[in-house]
Amino acid sequence: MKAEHFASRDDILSMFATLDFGGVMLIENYSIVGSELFLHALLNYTYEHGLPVLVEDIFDAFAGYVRHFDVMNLSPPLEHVGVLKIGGVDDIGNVVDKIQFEADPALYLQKKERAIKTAMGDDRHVYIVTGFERLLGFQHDAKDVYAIASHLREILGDETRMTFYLIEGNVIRGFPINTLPLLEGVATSAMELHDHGDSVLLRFRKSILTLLEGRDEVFIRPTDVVGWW
Amino acid sequence: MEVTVPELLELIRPGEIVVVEYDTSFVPEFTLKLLADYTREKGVPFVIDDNFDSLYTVLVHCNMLGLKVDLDHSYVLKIGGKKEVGSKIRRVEFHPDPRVLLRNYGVAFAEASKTFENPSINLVLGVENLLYFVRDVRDFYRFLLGIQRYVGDKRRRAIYLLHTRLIQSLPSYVHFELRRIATSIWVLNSYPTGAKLFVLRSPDFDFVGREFTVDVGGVFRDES
Repeated sequence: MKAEHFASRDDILSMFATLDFGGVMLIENYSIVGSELFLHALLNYTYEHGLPVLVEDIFDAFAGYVRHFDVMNLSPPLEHVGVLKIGGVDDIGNVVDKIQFEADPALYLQKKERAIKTAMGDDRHVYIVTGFERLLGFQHDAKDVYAIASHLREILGDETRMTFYLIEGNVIRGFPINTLPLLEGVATSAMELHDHGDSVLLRFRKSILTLLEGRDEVFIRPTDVVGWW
Repeated sequence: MEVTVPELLELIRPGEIVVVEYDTSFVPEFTLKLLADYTREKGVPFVIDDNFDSLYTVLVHCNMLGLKVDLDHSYVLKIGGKKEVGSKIRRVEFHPDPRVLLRNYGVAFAEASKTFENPSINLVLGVENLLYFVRDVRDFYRFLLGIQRYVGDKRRRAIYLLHTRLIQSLPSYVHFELRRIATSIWVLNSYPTGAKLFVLRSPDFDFVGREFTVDVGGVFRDES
């Protein structure tokens, strides 16, 4: 693909359409506004397709993105979105449950699974995790990270859930243990967002899409994305 | 493209946190002088967060440079430190637990803001001093989440001055997390009589990637 070709709204919608329930998507953001743009697109897409969303907001990461939307004059739909707070102090959105922050992953995983069950029952939903890097920042032991990866293996193939992990890659890389390679191995697809001049480069690390179309890079103009909805 | 300080400040929307990254230079001194002049002339409330006597340090430098800085209209929120400079000083009692410190700060900020009719310009000096008190990852996040709650707070347009190499000497997630909560990031590169300003982030995409020149040679001519 040539650099001067930019992704259209249809390109992005068809990319979302290839994602399946039971999948775990890892989105590693290294760009300045990539996370906000990705969330904006995903919240609009799920709303238009009548898909309920549950956001896991670890340490106010989601609250931070929503506050940025406000300053950027963006208002993606949030009425179909429930928020599950893990720690943090900033209750933004429709908070369905609050779990105290636990550095012990076994406790955290148990509590959050119970909360998801209560909030969603067996309904199909899109599950978006924000601030996962902050949780990983508290892990000092490779064994604990392994417990989290095992959990990902368990939700893999769970047909009631389509899971997105929106991760700030630069933050993770600043922590003592780089957990990304382990998580990438378990995920069904992994992509990275980078700044590229005025645009954002979406690079697929592994994706069914690249197998089908033989390309692994897409350029997106931020001004386009905010105009699509 | 050369811009004036008023033009630059018009780019900042109420509720923003602007992170201004600079390297060793007189950037803090000129920023203080230019913001003080701008806010006085335009009647914009001017709040200075003075962490651990950093305002005093900057003012001493200004004096030696021969910069006259009039802070009579300013509201100083003094966190830690001993040297009380500026006007309408409110003390924010320092506490090593960021949650307590930020609660104390919130009370002082609300008190100062009560009288404002327009969003203030809030210059934050010496924030790196606070970061030195942060003991661990959890403390850092308590501190960061406290600041993040001011994103979108229309009472202010905040400008955080960050010494790049100083921040980079801390664990690398500190710098990235501060950049992440910022709504604008301006990277300054100074030259003898001014600075080039690169807009790395802005809520207005038209400004992202643009470079401006702010020349301060004229500040001295105005005084003579």
